[in-house]
Amino acid sequence: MKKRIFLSICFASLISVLLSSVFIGGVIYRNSENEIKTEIRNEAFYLAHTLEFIGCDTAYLSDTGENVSNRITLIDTDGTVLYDNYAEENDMTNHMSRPEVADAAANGTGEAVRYSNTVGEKTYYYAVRLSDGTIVRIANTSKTVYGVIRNAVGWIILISILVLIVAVVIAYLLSRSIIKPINNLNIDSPLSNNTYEELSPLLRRMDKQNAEIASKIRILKEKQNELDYITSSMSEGLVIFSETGNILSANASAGRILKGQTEGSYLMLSRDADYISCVESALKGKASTKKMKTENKVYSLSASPVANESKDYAAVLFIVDITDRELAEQMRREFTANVSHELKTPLTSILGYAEIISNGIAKPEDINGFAGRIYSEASRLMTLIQDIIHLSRLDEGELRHEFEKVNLSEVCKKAVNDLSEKAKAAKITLNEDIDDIVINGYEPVLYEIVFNLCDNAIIYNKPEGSVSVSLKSDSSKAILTVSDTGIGIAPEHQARIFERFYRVDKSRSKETGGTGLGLSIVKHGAMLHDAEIAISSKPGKGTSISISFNI
Amino acid sequence: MRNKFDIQLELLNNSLISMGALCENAIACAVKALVNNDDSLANNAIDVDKEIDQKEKDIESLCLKLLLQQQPVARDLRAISSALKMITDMERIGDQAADIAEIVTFTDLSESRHRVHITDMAQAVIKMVTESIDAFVKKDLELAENVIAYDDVVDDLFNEVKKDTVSFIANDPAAGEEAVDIIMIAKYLERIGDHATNIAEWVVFSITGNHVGGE
Repeated sequence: MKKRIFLSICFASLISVLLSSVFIGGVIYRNSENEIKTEIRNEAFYLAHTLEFIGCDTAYLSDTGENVSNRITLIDTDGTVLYDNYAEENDMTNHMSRPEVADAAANGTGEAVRYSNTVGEKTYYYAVRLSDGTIVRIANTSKTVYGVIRNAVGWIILISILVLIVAVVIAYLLSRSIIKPINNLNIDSPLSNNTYEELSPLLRRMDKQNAEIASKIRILKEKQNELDYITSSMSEGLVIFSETGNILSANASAGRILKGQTEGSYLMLSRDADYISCVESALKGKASTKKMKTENKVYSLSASPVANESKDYAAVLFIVDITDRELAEQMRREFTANVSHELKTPLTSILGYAEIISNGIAKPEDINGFAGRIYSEASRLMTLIQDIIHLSRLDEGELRHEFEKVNLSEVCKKAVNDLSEKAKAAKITLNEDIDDIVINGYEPVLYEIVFNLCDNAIIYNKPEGSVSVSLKSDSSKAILTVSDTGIGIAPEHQARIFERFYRVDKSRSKETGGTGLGLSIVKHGAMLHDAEIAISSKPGKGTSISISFNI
Repeated sequence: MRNKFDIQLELLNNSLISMGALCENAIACAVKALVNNDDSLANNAIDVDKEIDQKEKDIESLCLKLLLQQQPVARDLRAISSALKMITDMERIGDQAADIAEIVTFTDLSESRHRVHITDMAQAVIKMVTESIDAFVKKDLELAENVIAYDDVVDDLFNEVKKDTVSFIANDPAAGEEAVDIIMIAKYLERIGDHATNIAEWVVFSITGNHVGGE
């Protein structure tokens, strides 16, 4: 714009200089021409008058003619030149044919203009007829317009250059001062500007658009914040990659899980082989799901391609912690394997004895013993299946509908009473310290809990040891504690003893006769009653397990 | 507007990181194969080595193209020339990992490995390789210098493995062949440690312009 204004000013001033010089020159030229003509005419009349007075005296003429610049010619009636102050009379041709002379001879006066284009001059002639018929002619030669221009061309160029220089300077300053307010416009608040009024529609429009843009940006920011807030509080990792594989956005969890930088190339986030192949396949347009294992966690990575118009693929990666799922999967597999194994062991014995008896190999006196074995193995099998049914019922969680007021102290006393024979046989003293407490629960399960805890305390005890069962209330809790003076549980096993079929000492399982499901039933029973289990144990000293029920 | 040169430099950087990732993968597979005597993992390490070789060729031609077409100066020139050196070391790491994997496929060392400190040494070397690549990714001078210093730990572990192996042979001359295999693996691991040191040195060079190596 500045350039445009600058050039326009320069151009306008140049044109105006040229035009004005042409017109002014033209007018001045025309005026001076008229003046010259009048002068010549006057001069011709003076001379004619003088010659009339003194007679046609060539001597006088030659006196005058030597001292004037105008050409004086005296022509006889027949056209011969009597005198000329510019040329030799004798050399001159008959002048009667010249238009001004012919005019004068006929009408008394005559005038003519003759041009010489070659030298750029024009000559003005004026002739007057004297009373004796001779004709006096005055001529003046001056430059024509072209001649004047040709003479003055240097000056014209010089002046034009000067004018141009001045015009450039002025144009520069002017254009700068015109542009300055536009350059200094405050775009942020267009209406506060005090500038050309021609700009005000533009500024008003700009103000409106500014407001629109601001509101749109605000909405976008809110949306972005919303998304950020949601993704940042997600425990799953979410990463979005551009077509070039750069990270467009990654939430905090993604950075934490992959332990890398959340900007730059996808390689900055992690160099895990599974991660890289997963992302690369998505960037090539193929969705992919992989498991990524870190030291103690398992993650599932799913990357999906996102196609844009030009068929390049961006990608979205979703990372989910599947450690628990994997663990549960593993536990289920172990459980199935354990159940089949535990069921098979008694069955093998039963089959063996039954085979011996049916083949008739058994001596009659042994048959009773064999039948006893078969009976005990079968009842073991029965207990096991009973326990599994118990557990699966607890797993279903349907028992919650059958909750009622249960006197926990009576349940405890019953369990202790039922186990007193077993304790006596194992030479274990059973101590009880039971307060009267009523809780909300399902009696058979509560009985299983107390029974299994006491049973374990008796089984894993030392001879002459003791088991004490206490039930105390503590403001809002009923705390059931079963402690023994038995073999104790090493710390590394404490976390796992509630797992199904888990045994600390695998070689002793057969002789102690447990199913390996007792503590699992306790745990699930406690979970059903929203009770918390605490265990404290010292190997060789004894174990104390307490369960706190909500009253 | 980013020009072509910048895009190519970024491509170079990414290719180097993914080659580094392949190296980590190769050595991790080889060591896991050694610990679990898992032949499929060992074969995996050998396959990864082939991928690493291909990657080296790709990066090499990219570097040469950059040098010839763009005539880089100063820091860019340093980055490209150190990349050229680094890929050689990475390629050697891949080769050595494949060598270890090959030994694992022929022999079962899962028992005798307990009698020497070879597993400790393998973990130390994996840590070095990972950290040297990390130093490159993060352009982390301090981490690179840590890696260079850590090479001494690996060298000490190598000496320990050597001593262990000597007493191993003395106690059980029948297991001599296994002992030789173990000492070979230990030597490969020690070499991998040296290559990781080299990578770290080139990382230092590409950041500061001073190459500290020369042992």
